[in-house]
Amino acid sequence: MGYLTVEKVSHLYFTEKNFTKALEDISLDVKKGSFVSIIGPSGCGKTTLLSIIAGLINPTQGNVFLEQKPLERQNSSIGYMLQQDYLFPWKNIMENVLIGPHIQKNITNEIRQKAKELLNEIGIGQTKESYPDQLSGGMRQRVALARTLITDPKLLLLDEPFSALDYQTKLKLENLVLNILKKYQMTSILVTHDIGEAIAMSESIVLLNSNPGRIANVFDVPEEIVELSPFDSRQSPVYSEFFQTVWKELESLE
Amino acid sequence: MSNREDHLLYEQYRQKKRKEKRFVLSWQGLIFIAFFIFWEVASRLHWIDPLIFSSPTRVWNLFIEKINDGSLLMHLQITGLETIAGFILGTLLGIIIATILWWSSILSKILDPYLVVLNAMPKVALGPILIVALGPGYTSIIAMGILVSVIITTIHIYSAFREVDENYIKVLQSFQATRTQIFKEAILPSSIPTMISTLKVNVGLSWVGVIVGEFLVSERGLGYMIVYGFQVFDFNLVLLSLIVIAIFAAVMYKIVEAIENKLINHKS
Repeated sequence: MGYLTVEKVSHLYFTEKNFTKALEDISLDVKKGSFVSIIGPSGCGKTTLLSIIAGLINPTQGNVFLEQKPLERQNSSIGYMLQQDYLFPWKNIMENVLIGPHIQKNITNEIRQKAKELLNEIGIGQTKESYPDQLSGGMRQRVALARTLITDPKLLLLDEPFSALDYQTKLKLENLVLNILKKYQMTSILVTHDIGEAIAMSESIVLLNSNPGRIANVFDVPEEIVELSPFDSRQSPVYSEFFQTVWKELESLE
Repeated sequence: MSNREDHLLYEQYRQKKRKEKRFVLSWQGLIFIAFFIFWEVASRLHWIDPLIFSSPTRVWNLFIEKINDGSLLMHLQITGLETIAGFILGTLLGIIIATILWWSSILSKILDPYLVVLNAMPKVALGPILIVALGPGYTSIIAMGILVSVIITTIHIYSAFREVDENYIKVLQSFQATRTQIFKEAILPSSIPTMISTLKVNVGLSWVGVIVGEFLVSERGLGYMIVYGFQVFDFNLVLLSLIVIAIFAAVMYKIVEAIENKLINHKS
């Protein structure tokens, strides 16, 4: 059993007239400190799977275990980064970063200090007193990262966190995020529709097919690319080759 | 060099804006003065019946008289306090009901048709019942002020609560926030702009409620002045009350606007 285990998870969505099967029989093992990406055609239940792992929705069937314990009994938080930053516009950057500790009622001087260090580390230390609407999209997403990391999550879930950014910002942020995650030895799961991003960032890639979402294939990203930073990976010849493999597989599903 | 040019251009822009502002202001003043002059002249030359439409000088003379014997101030004070009470209580009650509806989605489903009916019904028609139930006095007048604004406040604020982006809630849930915390951290602060715009609507509504309430029961207040003036056919009195109401409703509106500016620009 791995660090995170998803065991035979299926999920149904009900409406008054109909129901749809979003996920069917998903089983997954994630090692501690590894980075896994989930890709697949749109509507394949990627976000549903992420929400189940986060404990935000209960699956219709199946279980999720984190460190061999069922998810419901976890009391430490699971970090969740969304497509947009969703910073609270009426709170300044520092207050936004401290929202997790604030909710869990353990704001201490130590946590404040840690928040400052974290903001410095991701290069936005000077914005503590600013408000979100004074920051650019990339900076705001970095604040969202700090907000997620401050509570020491056991697991970090990323739901297309770079998709709303322009290409240049996205490349820079991929490097930064991966560096930070490696440093904190974070176990992370990224949902994306961008094959390139999945290859550049992760160690293994789970390919889902749609209606209902099932695991079609699991790829291990070649060692050479895993070693490199996301930006450098994209330049590597192995990258293009591997991209083709994943691309063809994804094509055959649609 | 270019810096000075930039400043010059900026100065020109500001001058243009100032000129426009002066233009608007002078026209506003002109219309105001023209209205009163026309009213006076039309009344003196009997283009309009001075018995019904009075004239600015007559209203002014009555104003001075009523100020001197202190009765206008007394009436204004009573109506003003009733309106403010109705306004504040109506808004607060609306917010509280909206909060309860947000808390329990099943309750909101159950109550939905009743809210629609209550909202569609003309609340002032309940006046006679209120007076019988609460007695002819301040209580039923304030109750009227509340009644007129509370349902529409509830509906507006509840829909604002529901329109808060789900993802803010998701962020808080990922930190295991309770429902109370979600309400305090996300729902309430994001609905402040709606609350303020409801306040603005409620300023007008509570005046309606209170004046109608005074029509029905009171022996004091601006609404009473209107009814009394109507009964003894003294339309100077009616018009004086109308003008006083217009001025104070505008003052209350401006106060709400000042609160709005303070709340919304707090960060800059």
